[in-house]
Amino acid sequence: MTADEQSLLDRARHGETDAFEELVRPHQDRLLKLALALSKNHEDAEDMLQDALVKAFGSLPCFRGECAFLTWLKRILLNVARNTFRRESRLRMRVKIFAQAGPATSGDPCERVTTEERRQFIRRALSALPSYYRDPLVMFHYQGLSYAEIAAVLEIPVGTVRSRLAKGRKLLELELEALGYPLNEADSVG
Amino acid sequence: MNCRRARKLIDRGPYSALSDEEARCLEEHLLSCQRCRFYHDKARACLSAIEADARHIDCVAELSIDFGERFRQRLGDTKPRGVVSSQSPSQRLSALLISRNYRLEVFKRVVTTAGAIAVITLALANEFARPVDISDELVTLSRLPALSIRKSPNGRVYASVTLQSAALQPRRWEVLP
Repeated sequence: MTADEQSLLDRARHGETDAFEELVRPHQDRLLKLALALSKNHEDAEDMLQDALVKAFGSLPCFRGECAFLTWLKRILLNVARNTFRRESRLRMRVKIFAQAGPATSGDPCERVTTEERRQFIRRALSALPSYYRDPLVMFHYQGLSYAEIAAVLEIPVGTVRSRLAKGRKLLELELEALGYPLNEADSVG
Repeated sequence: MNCRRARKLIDRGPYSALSDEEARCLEEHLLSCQRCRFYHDKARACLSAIEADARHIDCVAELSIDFGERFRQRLGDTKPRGVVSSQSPSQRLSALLISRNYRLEVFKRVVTTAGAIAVITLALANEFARPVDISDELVTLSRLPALSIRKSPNGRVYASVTLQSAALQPRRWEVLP
């Protein structure tokens, strides 16, 4: 952490919101990408990011500087995402909406599934994964983090990151298949 | 190489570099096994789907215009834990006392405590305030069966046992010889 960041951090710790805003501004884009990968749409992602940043501001005295500030923020964002998923899944259980509106099941899947729908499939499949598989996958594929960086954020060994990635990718594939995603046509997404 | 080993390598492939020997064996196996080739293609397709989605997110990741304003508003209502307030202690105390949540909390605590005290008092009263039977003829010990023997003027002997039941009503039986 540079001297500037340290002084901003000290001011933010004393409740100066401007200092906190300035401190998190360089990280907002990366955090937004992570939030986008973890949420269903842009609005949810922004809400998630805002919740995480507000939580981070409230918990600033707990930041001991043992890891990078961005790593700490990512950890908070992942926790917020986990809570959101938990809340949503509880709600789904309560109102018994297991089969959300998806593409129709008749006709040729390649024709009826549009690019946007494919993205929604991936979102839903990702959100259905347990967080200990979803988080490494999102950080590796969406954030481009190295194994060591993921290990630092999740506080787990590098070997565990690799095994969770492999297992998570396999589970994601199964989840996509269960949702009816045409995996044989996936190359045309984009 | 058998199918089981090949599939393990396929699952591990994107995240751990395979050795030259492993890669060569897998390639040979994929050429000869159609089912493993299908498995491999599906794994590749899944990865492509994720990567395409990641590329899409890179393109659209932009905060909305009013994000900063909303964020500032929410930050204004938050304070880092343990931050010393600029108000004097008396100001903070009066603010605390007049806050609606604080009054509600105090009310809840008072009601809960008073209820608990009432329940305990009633229980103790019920336990210890049982009537004790004191009669002329019988000596009754509290909560213990009492036995008394007396001789009547006509020479008959009476034995009396007095018990206190749970219903707080003393019972008496007379036993004839």
